Order: sequence, then structure tokens, then C-alpha cells
Amino acid sequence: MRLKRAEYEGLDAQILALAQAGRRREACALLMESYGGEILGTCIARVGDAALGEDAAQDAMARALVGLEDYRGTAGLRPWLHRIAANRCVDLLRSRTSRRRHTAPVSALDEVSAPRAPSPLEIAEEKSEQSARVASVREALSQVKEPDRTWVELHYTHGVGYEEIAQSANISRAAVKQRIWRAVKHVRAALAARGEVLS
Amino acid sequence: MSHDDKRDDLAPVVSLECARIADALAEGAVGPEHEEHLDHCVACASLVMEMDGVTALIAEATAPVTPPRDFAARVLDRANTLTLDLDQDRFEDPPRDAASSARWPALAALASVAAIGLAFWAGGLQAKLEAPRPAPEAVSQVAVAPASSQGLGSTGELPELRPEVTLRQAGGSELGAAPQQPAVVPEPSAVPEPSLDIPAEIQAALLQVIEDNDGCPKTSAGSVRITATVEPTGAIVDRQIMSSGEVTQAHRCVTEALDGLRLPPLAERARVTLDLRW
Repeated sequence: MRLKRAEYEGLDAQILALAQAGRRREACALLMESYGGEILGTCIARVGDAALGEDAAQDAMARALVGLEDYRGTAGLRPWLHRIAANRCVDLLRSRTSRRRHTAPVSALDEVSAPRAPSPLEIAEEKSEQSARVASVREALSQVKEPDRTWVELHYTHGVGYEEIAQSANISRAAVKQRIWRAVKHVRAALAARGEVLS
Repeated sequence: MSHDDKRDDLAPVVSLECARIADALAEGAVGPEHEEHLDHCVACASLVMEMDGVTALIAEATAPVTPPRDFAARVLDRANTLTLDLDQDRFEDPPRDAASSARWPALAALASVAAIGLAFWAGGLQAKLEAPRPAPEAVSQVAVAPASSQGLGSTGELPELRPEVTLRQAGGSELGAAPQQPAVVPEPSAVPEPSLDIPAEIQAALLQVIEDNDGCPKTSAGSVRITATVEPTGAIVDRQIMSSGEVTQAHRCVTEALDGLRLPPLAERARVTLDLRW
């Protein structure tokens, strides 16, 4: 269920008050209740793997929790949390790529070792054509540069308006709208190139 | 007029309507008022359907996922570990990965250049502030504020002409403007007027820091207005930074440069407004 902006502002204020009063455990509980699911969702979508996505989300939320104690921002917490999550995912993917590059012999061993059991999410994904489309969309989204990609998610997945995104990014509403729309058209073109029929 | 001619006449009208549909689509506001057009325009109807499909898929692909039951506890543990790491960082340098350690020398060099530049500037500012002034000159400066000849010093010298700067006292009165009360020449030591063009000094320091920062654009592409109060301690408070939407990068650079700016103690608090452009 999507909450209204005012409701989120109320939650943000509570989370900040708890964090800055040193009540980290309670701040964590409220932060997770309010944003845990969406940050986990975005991380899984970004890294394309449930377990890795969980690691990234856990790290992102922990960093946010620590950062909240000195947070002085005026915009809502949501865009800020999504940016942290996006950065953690980029770092995670980069470190994995780098590790693979530097440990080629180990990778070769990995190839002959027993394959990792697919997670329930992976099994479910492989079952339907719709899931394949979701994977295609994630792939297409991965080619959209930041912060446009984060904005696309904030707008279409979490219902954050252009105005609020523009406010948090300190740019004009028209620019946000144009960039989000361009990203959506890119996803549409990428799906079309894969032969996905969208109707 | 043939049917084809009529269609050609209508073509711009139809495309204008299509543009409206595209805009409504981007706004997520395709409604009943567009139905008539969508019933007749296959291209728009197909576009609306496709884009609805794409945005629905985006929402599905990035949908929230219910976290595992112990997720909050793990986040809390991780946060506590991060805090401990931060505390330890204060006493020892943690091992860093190759990529970040390669970046540090460059960042340190950049910071050193900026610090040296600031130190020179701050030193100059301090020297100017602390330099003793010859008495007649000080008296003539006291006489600057009132514009009338009553403000002339005992030596009869004309007041020093000062460039017009928007330097304001804490009370709001402009130092460069002429107060209306009769001039009373106080002791030179009690002269509160700063002997510096503070906005110009701040501007020069900020531009230097911006120039040294590789992350800043070569040109600002517009004006960034800074309004701030400089406390007698040199602290910059109550600052406001304003710019148009097109100079976001320049705005960010000015904000960062201002964050790192430290001024030496001043004779009095001053309200400063300056437009920065490079």
C-alpha cells in the first residue's frame, strides 16, 4: 500500500528523531518497516540475485542508519535511501567484477564445482514468460545512468511525484520529467529490440 | 477539396493532439478527455498501451520484497559494526583496497593545494586586519559614512572613496550607505568599519578553490548568489545560496567551496551578498 507524501514525512520525522536521540534499535525497526521492503526490492533488481541483493540492502540500510544520526537534509528520506542503495549495488557489482578479474584460476575452479542451488526467487523467475520480461526490464534499466534510474523507480514503483524528486535533486521539475521519460523510452526500445511485444 | 486534401489540412491538428497525448502519458494523466482521440488514432492508442505496459513492468521488476524475519536485526548488527569501525578509524588507518588507496594521493594533493591557497589568502586577510593604520587615514575613513562635509576629519582631507559593496552591519544598515545622523568622530580604535572589501575577498577565495577542484565546471554557465553573515569569529552563518536550475553543478561547487572556507577573525559581524560567476 502506497502512503501519501505527508504520511511519509511524518514517518521520516519519527525515524530521524529516534536516530538522533540515540535510540538506534527503535529507529532501525521503524526504518525497516517503512522502507525495508522497497530497498530490498531495488537491490535485488539491481544486482539480479536475491542473496546478493539482500547483502547490498543490509549494508545500505545499516549505513543509512548510522548516517541518520547526523542527517541534516531537508528533503524526504526516501530519495536519499535509494541513492545509498544504488551506490552500494554499484560497489558490490564492481567489487565482484574486480574479484573475478583478479582471481581467474579460482573462477576456473568454480566452473567445475557443483552449481549453486537456485534460490526460490530464481526458480520462480524461470517459470513464466512474464518473469523473463521482468529480467529484460531489469537488464534494460541497468543501462540507464544514475540518478535517472533511481528516479524512474521512485516515480513508477513508489509513486514519488516529479515535484518531490526535483526538490530532492535540486533541479527543475521539467528536467526530471524529461529524464525519466527518456529512460522509460529507452526501456521500451530495449524490450522491442529483444522482440518483446508490449500490448 | 478532395478527402486527401482535407486530411492534409487536419494533419497538424492531429499531430498536436498526439503531442498532447504524449505529454499526458509522461504526466501519467491520460484520461477520459483523450478517449475520443485514442479511438481514432491507432498510433497514439498503441503508444499508450505500450508505455502502460513498460511502466507496469518497471514497477513489477523493482517491486518491494518482504524482508526476511531477521533482516532488521542483521541491519542493526551491521550498523553497530560500522560505528565501531568508524570509531577505530579515528586512531588507526584501516587497510584500504587498491582502487581507493590509489585515489588518496590525488585527493590529498588537491586538498593540499586548496589549503595552501586558502592559507595564503587568510594570512593576507589577517595581516590586513592587524596592520596598524596611520591616524589621519583612520580618521578620514570614519568620515566615509556620512556623505556631508561634516564628516571630514580635523585634517580636512576628503574621505576615501570606497567601492560600492553590499556589506551590511548586523543591524541591517548598509555600511556603504550614508547614515543621516550628524557625524561624530570617535576615537580611531572604536572605528567598527572593516577595512576590507570582504565580498571581494570571499569571492577571490571561492574562485580559487573552485578552480582547483577538477570536479567543478570550467564555466558556471550562470550566476550563483551567496548571502551570508560573517561572524566576528570568522564563521560564516545564515548562508543562502541561490541559482537558476541550469547551474546545478556550479551551485554544488560553490556550496562545497563555501563549506571549506574559514575566515580569520573580523572586527565586526558583516552581512555579505555576492554574485559568483566564472
